[in-house]
Amino acid sequence: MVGKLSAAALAFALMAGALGACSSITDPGSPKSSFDADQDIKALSQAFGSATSISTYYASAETRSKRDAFVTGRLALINLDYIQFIKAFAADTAQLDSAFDLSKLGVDLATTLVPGAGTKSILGAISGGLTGSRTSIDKNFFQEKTVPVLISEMNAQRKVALAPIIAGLSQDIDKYPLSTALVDLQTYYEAGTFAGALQSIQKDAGSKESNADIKLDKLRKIVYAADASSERITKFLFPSGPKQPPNNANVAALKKWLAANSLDQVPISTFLDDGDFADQRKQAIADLSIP
Amino acid sequence: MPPCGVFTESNVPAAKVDQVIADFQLDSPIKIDKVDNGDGTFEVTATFPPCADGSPQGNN
Repeated sequence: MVGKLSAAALAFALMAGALGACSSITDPGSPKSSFDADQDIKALSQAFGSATSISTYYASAETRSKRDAFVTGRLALINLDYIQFIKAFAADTAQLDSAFDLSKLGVDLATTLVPGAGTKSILGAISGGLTGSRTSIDKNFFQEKTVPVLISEMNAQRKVALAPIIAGLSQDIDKYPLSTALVDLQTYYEAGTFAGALQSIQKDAGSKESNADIKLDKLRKIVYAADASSERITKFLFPSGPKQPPNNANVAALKKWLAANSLDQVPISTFLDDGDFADQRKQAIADLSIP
Repeated sequence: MPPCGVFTESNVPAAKVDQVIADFQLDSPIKIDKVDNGDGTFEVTATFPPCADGSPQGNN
């Protein structure tokens, strides 16, 4: 039991070191930060320690100044933690690999030095976990290059989530109590997580898909509105008129153009006769050099 | 992805009906119907294979 606790403490220290190594990595594409985020977080935690304590907050009557101090303190801490988080994931892959390798090496060494099968088992599992973590990050984030997308989404969502907090702080305590601010702060925090970013991206994609469906539905019943461009394309497709076979090469060229312009679900007839496609028809004439 | 479901064109001038039908045929519909509105115009309906959700109206 003692051995296991010691191993757990050692493992915790090594894991903390690994996280520390990650957070201290600088982004090779950015200048050196003008402040030390680690120190700032520590200082702010001390400075806002009592101000951001809910039990301390509610120990006396709720006031606007107390609320403002609490909310701004939490905001500052969330922001600094977010910067640390971003820097860790925006770091160069090779540097991050080195950090993981060093951490794993430390755990492996500890595994060989400590006695007891149970302790070795715990450390071995941690070592495997470190390798697994790196593989997971490599595969899911770096190799698929999703991190920049996620960070952009997090930044955008954080701006959106910050707005109600700023608006709330301009209101009196009865209209924006801490209970409401805490919900907004949690939303702000979650906006700065990969999970929050993924949810937002998924929601956005669903909305775009829905809009595309609505647009296609509008095309299912149109009023004939062919124009001069329609006539030119029609002659391109049917040089000898509608009663004669079409020019298959020209038909294929137009279908290819429609597909390249995300209009492959639209029948050629609809494309030619719908008034909303007037600009696209002109573009097709230009792109396909239709006389 | 080729067209699916049902597409309709209304107010098609009588002189253009054959052309509209010929244009629809370029996308290989299952069937094409035309209805004479009695005012010199037609309504042309082309039915393509059902959409991915199986609905004939293409409510996908």
